[in-house]
Amino acid sequence: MPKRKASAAISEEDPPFKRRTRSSGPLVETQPAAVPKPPATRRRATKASLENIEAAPEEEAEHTQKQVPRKRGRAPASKAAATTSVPTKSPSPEPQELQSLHEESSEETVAQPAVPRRRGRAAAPAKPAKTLPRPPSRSAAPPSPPKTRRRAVQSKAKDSADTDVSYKEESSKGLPRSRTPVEAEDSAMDEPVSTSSKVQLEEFSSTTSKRVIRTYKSRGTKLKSVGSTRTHTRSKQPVIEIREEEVIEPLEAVQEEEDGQDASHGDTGEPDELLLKASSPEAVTPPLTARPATPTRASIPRSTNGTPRYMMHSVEITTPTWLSTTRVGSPRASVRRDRTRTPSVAPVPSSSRLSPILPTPTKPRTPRRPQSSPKRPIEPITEEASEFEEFPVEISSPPKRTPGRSPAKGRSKTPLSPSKHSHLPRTFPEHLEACMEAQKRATLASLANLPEVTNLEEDEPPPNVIAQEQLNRLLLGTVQRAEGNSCLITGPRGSGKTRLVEDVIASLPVAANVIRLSGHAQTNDRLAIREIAWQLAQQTGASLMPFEDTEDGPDQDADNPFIEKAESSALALPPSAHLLALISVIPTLSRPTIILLDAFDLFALHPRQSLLYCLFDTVQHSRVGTTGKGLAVVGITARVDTINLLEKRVKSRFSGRILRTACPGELDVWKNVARQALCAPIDGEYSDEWTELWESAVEKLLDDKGIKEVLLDTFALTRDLRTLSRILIPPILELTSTSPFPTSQSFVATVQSQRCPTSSAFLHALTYPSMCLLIAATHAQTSGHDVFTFEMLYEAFCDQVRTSQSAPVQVEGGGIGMMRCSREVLMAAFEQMVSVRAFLAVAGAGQGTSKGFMKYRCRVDRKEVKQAVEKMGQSSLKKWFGKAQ
Amino acid sequence: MSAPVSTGFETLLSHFTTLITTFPPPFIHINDPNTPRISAALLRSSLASISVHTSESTPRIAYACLNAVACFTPRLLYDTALNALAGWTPQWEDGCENWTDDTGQRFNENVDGFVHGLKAVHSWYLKHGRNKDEGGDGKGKGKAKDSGGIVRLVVLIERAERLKENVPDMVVPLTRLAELAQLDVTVIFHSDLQWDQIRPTLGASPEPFYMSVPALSKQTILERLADAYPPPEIGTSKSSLVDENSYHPALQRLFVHFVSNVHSVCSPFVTDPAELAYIIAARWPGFVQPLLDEWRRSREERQEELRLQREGGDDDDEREDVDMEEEKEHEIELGPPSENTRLRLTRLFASSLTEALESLYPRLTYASTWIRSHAPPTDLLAYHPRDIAAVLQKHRADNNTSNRGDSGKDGEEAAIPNLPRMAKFILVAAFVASTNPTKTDMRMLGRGLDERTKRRRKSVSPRKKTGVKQSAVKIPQRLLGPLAFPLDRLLAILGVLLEENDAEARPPMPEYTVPGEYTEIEIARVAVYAQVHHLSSMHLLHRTSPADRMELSPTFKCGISYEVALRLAKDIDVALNDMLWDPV
Repeated sequence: MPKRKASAAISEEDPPFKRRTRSSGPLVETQPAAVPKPPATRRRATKASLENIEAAPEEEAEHTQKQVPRKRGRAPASKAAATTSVPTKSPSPEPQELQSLHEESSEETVAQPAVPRRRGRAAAPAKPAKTLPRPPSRSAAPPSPPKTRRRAVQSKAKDSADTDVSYKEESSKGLPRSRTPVEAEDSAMDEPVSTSSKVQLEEFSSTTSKRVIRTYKSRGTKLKSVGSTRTHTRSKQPVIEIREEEVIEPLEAVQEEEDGQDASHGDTGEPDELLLKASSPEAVTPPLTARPATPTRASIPRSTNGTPRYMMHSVEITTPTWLSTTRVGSPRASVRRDRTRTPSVAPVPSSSRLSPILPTPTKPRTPRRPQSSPKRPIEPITEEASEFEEFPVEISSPPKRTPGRSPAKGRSKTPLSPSKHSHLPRTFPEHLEACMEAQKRATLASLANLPEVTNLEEDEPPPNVIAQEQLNRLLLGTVQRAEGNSCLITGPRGSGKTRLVEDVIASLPVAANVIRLSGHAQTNDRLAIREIAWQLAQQTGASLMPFEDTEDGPDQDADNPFIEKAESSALALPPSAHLLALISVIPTLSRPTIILLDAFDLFALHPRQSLLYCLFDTVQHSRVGTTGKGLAVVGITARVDTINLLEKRVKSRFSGRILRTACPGELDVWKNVARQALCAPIDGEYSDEWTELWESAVEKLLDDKGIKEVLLDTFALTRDLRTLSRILIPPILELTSTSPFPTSQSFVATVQSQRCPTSSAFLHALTYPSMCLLIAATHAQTSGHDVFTFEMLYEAFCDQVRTSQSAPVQVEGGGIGMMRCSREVLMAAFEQMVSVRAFLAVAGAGQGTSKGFMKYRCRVDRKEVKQAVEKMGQSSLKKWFGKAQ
Repeated sequence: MSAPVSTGFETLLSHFTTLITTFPPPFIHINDPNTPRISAALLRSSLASISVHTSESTPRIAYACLNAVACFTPRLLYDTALNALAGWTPQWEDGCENWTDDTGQRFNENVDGFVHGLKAVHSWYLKHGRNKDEGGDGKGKGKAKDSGGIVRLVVLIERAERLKENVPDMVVPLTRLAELAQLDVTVIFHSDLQWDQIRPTLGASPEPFYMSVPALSKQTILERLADAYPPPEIGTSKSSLVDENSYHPALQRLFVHFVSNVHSVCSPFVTDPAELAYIIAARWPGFVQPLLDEWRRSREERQEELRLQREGGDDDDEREDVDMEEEKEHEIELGPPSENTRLRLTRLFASSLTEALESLYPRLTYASTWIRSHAPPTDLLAYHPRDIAAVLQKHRADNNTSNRGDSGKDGEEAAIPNLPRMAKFILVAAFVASTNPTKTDMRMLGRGLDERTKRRRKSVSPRKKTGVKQSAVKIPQRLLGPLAFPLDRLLAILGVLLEENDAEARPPMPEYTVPGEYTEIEIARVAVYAQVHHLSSMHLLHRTSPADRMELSPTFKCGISYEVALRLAKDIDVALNDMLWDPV
């Protein structure tokens, strides 16, 4: 929460200079390589803005101003739009400002390539910084133009979901960057790592967006110059559609120029992509040559920043192997890209937030602005328009931007909530109780199996969807064409890896043998192979196992006299000596086989990795066209560097396909999941009446300020949807006929217990002797003895009792001294403390060491002790504790 | 055993029941740092009732309650869980076979086997549920019920923190049981520790759904304790220790007061309802004894009266029947005591509550022993109020002396008075050797003619110096525990002790002329070595060097506390504090 507030404050005021500086710094280093791409994002945005502008320019402008806070997430786009719009309205101020902008942008661009992820973040802040200096020109530049993009979006989606639109814009921008699915995966990978950074980014973006808007207004001219090619075009959108064509041409020219500059990037040529054409070809044919050098960068920026497409393009083009594989895997992504110019692959939600950064793309802007500044505005409009057209339709999802502000607006806008809140009945009608129970069940059911919410992401598919497509294609190849395939699915915990695999397998048209192994259960290769044999036997029947006929049970585990009898059943396994050979026989089975290796990294830790070697070797040797059936090996792991764990000979047999999943990158996904889960449909009498009440209650709940904060906090800590599920369960459990609707109080109260329950809950109910022991232990610690014995504590206690009772003071008839406590009772309390692990034994009990002399260490923090002492409220104890300084 | 009282745990149980009967998370951790045994018992009983009360709408619940203390090997864990899930009890007559399905597989080989077993149990339930009418096949019969074809397996593991020590490899598979088995399995860990302290490294386990049991409020504890008052039919005690009317229904209100009284005295030290109930059970019979005595006395008096009346009207035989009825009418019912009596009793027994706490909570004695030793004198209320306190005190003192023999003194103290004199010397010497740093022996015990005064003086200054130098406060060795010392050092110190405190008591031996020679002879006797060995076998000395190593002098540690050492030293007239480097 603090972060939000801070960001909000910043945004309200002019952007903090510090941030600017920070952002600009990294940007400068990194940007140069990425320079060409950013303009693309701008262009897109401009299209949308253009359309919007056309519809209702001025009104929109007003809207945008209001909406600005929401857009934080989108900030890059909005900024870009603002920049573009500004030039159209107020041409005069442009030159100087533009130049300045160019300079800044150029620096940024140069810096960007080096710092991939941060770029986006840094870039976002950087822009606002730029914008900020401009404020003086505000008067000159009409406020409306900067808003154009947003306005456009709003105009289209105005009533429905302005915020959504903006998100979509962002997301769309993000998509283009990440044209190739691989990139998207990369981004997914990156996300988990940089969750905290994302949050920051969000903040930045939010603040920046506001700033940007202002700056746009004031310094619209500057902005124009900066985003000369793309951004300008967008900004020009508001002006007129007709211009677009004209603009396009200049843009192309600019692009050409850029291309010339970025000769190496070739495909990435901004103009084409930006306008319409380029994106698809790029996506389809990633330049292999460039890949090796840039792939990492490209992937990173994509993931983190959805917006800076230009950057992305250049990077993407270069990205080698991953991209190729991913692209092949995900056709959809490429299609989408075509539409929006920018491939949708990367569009991780986070990227969309990051996108605001994009406007900064330095290279294209600086050269373009001076030249094309007048024309450009028009061009961007066209692009934006096309994008926007698509967006509004698609954009049904709530705003993704900054979690704190945006959600609130989005919700408020959503038709459901506002009116209903007041309808919640004071007295709960009895006839609805059954509905309440049914709702409880339904909600718990949906919480146990969270619904998938993907609608937020407009056309850009979340990485999971891309991964699913790729995996589906892969497994289809195995199932239908008898291919041998192997791949690795990585992603943070709770990002849906297993679910994805299960979904894909369930959707396969042909029944396959599915063998599920887990590194947690099969801790060595022998166990794993036995389990493979067992599961194969289960699924195929013993007859399918060629081994068993010849040499069955008797000699297996011959040394164990008990085992023969038991294993002589229908599920008898081949003798252990033949187990390894079993793997090579798998392709000869009558059905294709899919082997899932959960916790793949643990398998890689097995000595010699013989299981993996056999599996991959078999996969590699199974050829299409031979009589055998396909074999697919799918590894699932959360460990990022798993591939590095593989031995060389194993790695060379592994296909190298790595699919990535990601947790939702937007808080709004969380909220939508929560909404959907809570509003699980029920059947039954009065269900309509109930559903209305319930949904309004849920809306009210999700709109509650406290809950928003809690959700944001939690989201900043983890994006695991299972956490959300756990958080939501207790309030549902607490529903009764007297309080039939979840309340924000109960929600907030239970969040802590589910998120990270305190490790010292016992402190709240400590008895007097236990508390004395704790305090004595604290004293021992402060006197330099971290390790103590019971005798030491007892001695300290006795001393304290003596001194406290030596004063013959009485308050209200009672002594203020500490109560005496027999040694045995204290010892019992001590043992209790040991059993709850407040005191940890330092060394094992030596022989003959009596209990009193065992050495212990106190696990409870001094601060916690202090809280406990104060909660207990005994002044004598407080006084004693106070002495330990 | 009747179902445990759920007072104070309603929320937990309702949540738990709702979850288990609807859609439980695959892994739940229930943390109860305060009353783990009670909540575990409640969860068990609630699972039992859930599994019985399955309706058509809810899935059939098969559950297993394991105790990680009992399941200290993986195989025990597998077998116990599967047997319980299948409702199978191994029979001695059948060779104690574990549950198995039709294929006769064994499911306790490893985790995979266990998972296979779970699947087998699950499918067995499914099959069995449909074939219910055909009757069970002899295994786990009676558990099968129709329930819409859904079978949910619930595994409750109590004291789950022990898993980490006993079967560390099982923690992760258990927490991931649902995904391993691909079944509707819920694993519940119940522990007085937080999941944090059980959690395996590297995030190998998924996060559980957390449930925690809050500490009971005072009111709840009182209610629970008061509810424990046995109902009338059970109220009569068969124990010889407790009066049969101790739990008479008429005294129930007094019991409530008594409970709150005990709680107010003991709650600062103990809040566990079970411990409080233990103390209450030990004190209550004595507490109501005076009332019962008085009631019995008044009843006897009444009967005496009636008898006298009857004797007076001896002749009227026909009135006898009437008298009998009258007698019954006049039979004095045991009634609740007056407020005044209650206050008097409370005041009289207030001090004994503390005693009960101090001896019963640490289990220094057993409740039955304590009841016997703290029974109040008969007819206590018959005494004049002024004398009662004195009477009670005297009685208690008598009790203590009479019960000293069998009352719960720990072995160490009981054995000490009977030690031979030489053993006492050895123990004191051992205490000194264990407490004093080796370097200081010469200063503390050196008895050379020249050195003595010097050393004594010097010994003061270095101590002060060191105190100044050291940053951390020096902890006296007596608090840190005994140091190990070699046997030679013990004998040397013993020699000093004997020379200074025992030499005069010995029979004269004129042949030893050199000073100290007699003592040297004494400490070299086999009897001394034998005594050391004997003491170490009593664990008053602890041998710290391995018994089979001969090349070094054996080392020992002192096994007696400072208090005991002080008493022993007094017995043999040794000024112990003079010999300690840092005296108390």
